[in-house]
Amino acid sequence: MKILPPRTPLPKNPTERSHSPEPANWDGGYRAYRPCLRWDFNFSCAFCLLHEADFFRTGKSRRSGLFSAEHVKLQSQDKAGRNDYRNCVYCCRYCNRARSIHPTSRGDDLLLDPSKVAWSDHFAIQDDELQPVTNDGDAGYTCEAYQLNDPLKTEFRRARRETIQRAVYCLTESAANIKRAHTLLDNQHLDDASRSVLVQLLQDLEQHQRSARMQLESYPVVPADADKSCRCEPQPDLSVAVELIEASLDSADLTSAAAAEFSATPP
Amino acid sequence: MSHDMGTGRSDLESTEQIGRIQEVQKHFAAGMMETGETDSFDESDFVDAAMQSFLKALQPYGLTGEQSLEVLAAFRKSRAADHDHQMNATDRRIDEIFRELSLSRSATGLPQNAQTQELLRELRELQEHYAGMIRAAHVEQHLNPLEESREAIQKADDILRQYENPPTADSSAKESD
Repeated sequence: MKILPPRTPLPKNPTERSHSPEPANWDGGYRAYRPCLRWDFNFSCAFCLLHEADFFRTGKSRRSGLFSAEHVKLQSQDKAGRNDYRNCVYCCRYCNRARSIHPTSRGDDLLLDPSKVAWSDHFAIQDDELQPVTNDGDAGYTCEAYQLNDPLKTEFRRARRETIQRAVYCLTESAANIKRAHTLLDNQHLDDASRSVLVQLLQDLEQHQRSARMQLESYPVVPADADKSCRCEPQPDLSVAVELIEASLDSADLTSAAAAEFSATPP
Repeated sequence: MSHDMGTGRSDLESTEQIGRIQEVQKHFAAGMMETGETDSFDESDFVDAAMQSFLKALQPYGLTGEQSLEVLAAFRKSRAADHDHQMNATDRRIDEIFRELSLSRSATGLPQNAQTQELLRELRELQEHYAGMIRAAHVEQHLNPLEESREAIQKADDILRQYENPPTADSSAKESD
């Protein structure tokens, strides 16, 4: 299972859409694009980059109401664009509500559209915040309009970072200790009391390993309820961005260099 | 009945608190269904959001009622005063809003006026506030066991080291000197 990185990397390119759903030209038709939006935006809010798993660690965000379609051009100002897939981005409820009726521009500052610009050109990750780069008025306005560093969002980022780092540490260290315990138990001359201590230790370590794995797997790149079909005809490959996959960790391979990097910061 | 030494509160009070949350979510669900207030979200999603944010958030991974109480207790321990204060204030405001909405309700439902919209908007915010508090409780709930695991693994490392490098007769003698 692919696990999210402790910090979602800032996209180096504008979000490339592989989905092109059949138009849903009825009132509220844009809601039918949800499966396409989920895949195209990597199950993450296009603005604050929080993933569905940051909100719901049960792996089922469907019908939670915490993610929805955000209209780049406001519905109230552009009725024709309401059901235009290209005008919709996947967005968490907190960013959606924060933006509210903020217009697409304020003076010279434009609201950034993640489908048109690369977030890494405008923001930098500092601690658990997305900071606009210096003198970037557009990024500043976007950060303010969507409240990208609302305390709740930074708390969710911190929670993922710390949970994953600690879980990876526990998994790799317990695996190493289990191996050592087995080596000691292989010694034919070990007395019964020592053997008993080591067997108990082994059981405890395996339990810690199981619970750490469970914590880690509660942050999957692709949620358990990921849509298997969408409104596209023909249906494109259902996959997430390569950037995210490259930054992720495979829970079955915790001996890799990636794992070491994941737990590089002492938990 | 266990007792939370950190706050001097009992599980019974936690039960009451969960009861209050469940009551609030029923209000949310009923209120949203009645008004059909669906501007930004699927109606079904929104009703579900009210249900999920409150109830399911307390029961991830199939948490039992008792475990949910532990979540709340852990939360209270770390942020007791602030949390209770906020929760009580939130509860009070929700009650007030529902009272106002009840008074303005007619046979055809709630009036679609600015005041109603404003009250519903505030309800959404309060719901998010609740969801945020409960989510914060989850963070503690997940991080704490990992911290305990980390400590246990480090202790195991020490024990294994002792077996791997048992003290020799010489070193024992030196220590006793």
